[in-house]
Amino acid sequence: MAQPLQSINLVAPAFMGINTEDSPIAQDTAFAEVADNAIIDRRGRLASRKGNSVLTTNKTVLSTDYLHKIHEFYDSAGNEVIFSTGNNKIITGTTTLVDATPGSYTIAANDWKIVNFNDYAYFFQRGYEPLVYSHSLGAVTKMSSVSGANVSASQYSNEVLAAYGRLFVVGNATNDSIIYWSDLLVGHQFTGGSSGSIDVAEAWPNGFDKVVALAAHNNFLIVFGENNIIVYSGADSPASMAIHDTIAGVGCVDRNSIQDIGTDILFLTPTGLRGLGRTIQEKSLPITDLSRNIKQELIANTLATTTPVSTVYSPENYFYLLCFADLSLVYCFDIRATLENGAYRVTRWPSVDFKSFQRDRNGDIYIGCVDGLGKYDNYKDNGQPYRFRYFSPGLTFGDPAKIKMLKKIRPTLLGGNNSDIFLKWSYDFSKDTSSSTFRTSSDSPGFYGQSEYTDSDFSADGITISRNSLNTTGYGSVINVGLETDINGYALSIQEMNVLALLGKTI
Amino acid sequence: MSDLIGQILGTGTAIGGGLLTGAAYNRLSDIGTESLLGTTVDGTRIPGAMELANQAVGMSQFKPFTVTSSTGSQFGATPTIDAQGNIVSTDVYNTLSGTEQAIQNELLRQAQTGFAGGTTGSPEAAAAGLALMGRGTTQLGQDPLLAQNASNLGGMFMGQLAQPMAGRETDVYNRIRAMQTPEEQRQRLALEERLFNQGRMGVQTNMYGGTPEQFALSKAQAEAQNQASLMAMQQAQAEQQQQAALGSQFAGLGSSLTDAQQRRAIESLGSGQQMLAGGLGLQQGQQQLNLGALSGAYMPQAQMLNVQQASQLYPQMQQQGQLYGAGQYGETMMSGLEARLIAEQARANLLGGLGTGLLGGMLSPVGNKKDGFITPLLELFS
Repeated sequence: MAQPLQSINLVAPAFMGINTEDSPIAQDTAFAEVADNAIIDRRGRLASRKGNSVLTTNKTVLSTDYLHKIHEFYDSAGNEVIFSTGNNKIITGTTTLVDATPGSYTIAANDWKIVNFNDYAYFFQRGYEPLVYSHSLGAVTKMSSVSGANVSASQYSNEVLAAYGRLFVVGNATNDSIIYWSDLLVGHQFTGGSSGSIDVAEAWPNGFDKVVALAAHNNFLIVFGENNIIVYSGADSPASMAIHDTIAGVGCVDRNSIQDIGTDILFLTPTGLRGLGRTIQEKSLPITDLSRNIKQELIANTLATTTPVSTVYSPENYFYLLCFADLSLVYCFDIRATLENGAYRVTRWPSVDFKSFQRDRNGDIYIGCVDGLGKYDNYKDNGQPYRFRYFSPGLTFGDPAKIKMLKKIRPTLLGGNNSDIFLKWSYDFSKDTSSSTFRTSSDSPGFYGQSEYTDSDFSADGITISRNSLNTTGYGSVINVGLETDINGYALSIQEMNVLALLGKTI
Repeated sequence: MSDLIGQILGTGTAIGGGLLTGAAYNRLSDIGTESLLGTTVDGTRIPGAMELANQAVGMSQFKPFTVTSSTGSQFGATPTIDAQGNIVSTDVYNTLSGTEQAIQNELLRQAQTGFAGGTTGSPEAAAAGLALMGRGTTQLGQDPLLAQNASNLGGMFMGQLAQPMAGRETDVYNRIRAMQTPEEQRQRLALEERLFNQGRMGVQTNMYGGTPEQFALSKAQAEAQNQASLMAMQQAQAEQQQQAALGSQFAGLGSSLTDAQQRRAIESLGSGQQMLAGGLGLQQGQQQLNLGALSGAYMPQAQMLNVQQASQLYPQMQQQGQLYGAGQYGETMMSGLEARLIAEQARANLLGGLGTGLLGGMLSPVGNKKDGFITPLLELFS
């Protein structure tokens, strides 16, 4: 006797991001097993990320290296310079990269941190004399060469923070405990005026630690150690600032991971991505674990990486990107809201050439890569397509004990003009997948004045919708469905995926 | 021959002169005897001086009398006459009246008691006076220890003025700091603890060196040190002034004590003298009282004597009358003798002068320068 098809309607599949922590068959179907090169778009759908639109046409100075750091300098007069670092150089320019390294200044590392402060750009790297740029200087200059500068090797620091009218620096070649602050509004004066320092070696709540990073938030100076955090209040007067709170057992692994998202500070700990928001609001632990859904995976990658991470916060895209450059891996955390477990929705951007990021004042995201400087824009990576992948968690149709015979998959896709969609399914967690291919609509949007009196006048609003129903085969107790496609200039998002299966006997 | 004549004449002269002189002498001797033994002239017995004297004794013999005053006292004198009628003694008696006798007895008793019992309080006063004088003398002689000590103290304080103040300032400063240091230590430790709890132990600033609190504390402590130093200097100066004042005060006190001791010694001496004088005064008063009593005791008797003296005139008048009568009698009786004596003296003088001239010629030198001079009487016997 014929039995009715059972339907699982995956509405906005993977809109809760990937989840590698919970059991695949016990997960909410809104999670995804795989969501590569995807984001959660503004409608909460899993969609393809944008690509890397490389701006650079001449990267001679970069040679084979990539851009480790990107920084946008701008001053109160509206002057703007994009700085980047790579190949042991300070580089300016976007299309043609120009070596801006000061003469007789030898660099053997590229782990710079660059901040803007009072119409100056300050470049800091451990063990190197800080560099300074301003429009009036006209060139990147050694700090000691700047008029009125007072700097010593103590300030050849790894970390720099421009906050509360001063530069706070910490982490020179021999000491990771003393935080130096500059004179008020003079970032290159570390002696005289109201400059000073504080040795936090005795302030750690849990034994000895090293200062990894600094952050400013809500008149707090947050000192991140490797395994502790100290929150100083009254940082606008650093001579008088005092410990407001301490957090033991949680630290920061990389100064580059810290991003102030306005309401919170995100940072990468050895145990995942966390935010200080709850701590600052509630003045107590525990701090939020924002990467709970990929916790072990993230910890593994954190331990595996050998290069500094790179992060960027984009309020325009609602995400926080965490890049493991040497792993060619980017995690995209959607920061609009946390899930019930307190974690951000997260997607994975594997095999990307993204090495560094910088968001400019316009909201554009600069991407550093081996090709030079690009922008997070369009849907190609330096002109090349990239693979968008989605796989659902295990679907059991409410009865894991029964065999399911997958009959149809009907995805509803938006965009992806003429993209070949590889619809895939597998049974019982098998890596061998079956697939079926279809092509999305090729309805290119037409715009007034560009394609007037063409067919496009009658097209949709620029987004094509594809609703295909594909027959499927095979059977098993747990079903994984997904799709892959190359993003090649057009965005693609998954609105819905309707899975129809016939339930069989109990195993 | 002339010489012989001369010599015969001379010898006659000398014999005649001698005879005449001897007659005068005999007459005068007779009259003297008659004046003593009396004579009879023309049958009338004229008594001599001795007879008159015997008669005058009887006539002028003292008559006993008695004087009685108006208060009843009596005074009387009764002579004792021996067999020859001479007064060998006179019993004088003075009998007071009963009242006066009682008064006299009482006053005599008081005088006797006063003299015998001494003066009440006088010995004590004298003893006290002597004691005071002794004390005063002792005090005068004593070395005023307290005054000396005060003077020594004054000298010590004055001597300290000459000492440099730096040492004292250091001592005061150290003492002030010793008081301040524990609190500063507590404050510093509290601040360290607070800074540690605030995670600010390692703060170094260009403006403050350390934290503003450390700077404020250090500043406060430095100010406290400065203030302590200033206070030490002020204290040292104040102490110096105090030492000067104390030195002056003690010196003045020593001087005052000396003066006071001297005054007290003098006062003791004065008081002793006064006490002694008081004792003597008492004694004198007592003696005066005694004497007064004694005098008073004899007052009735004196008054009796006054009465007696006042009434002495009458016995005297009687006695004088008796004496006068006796004198008149004697003188009258002797006046005849005196007249005879005078007459006989004149006859004796005539005979005596004649004899004297004769003798004088015998004794006068006779001669000339050529023959020489001789004394007849001497030649007579040569």
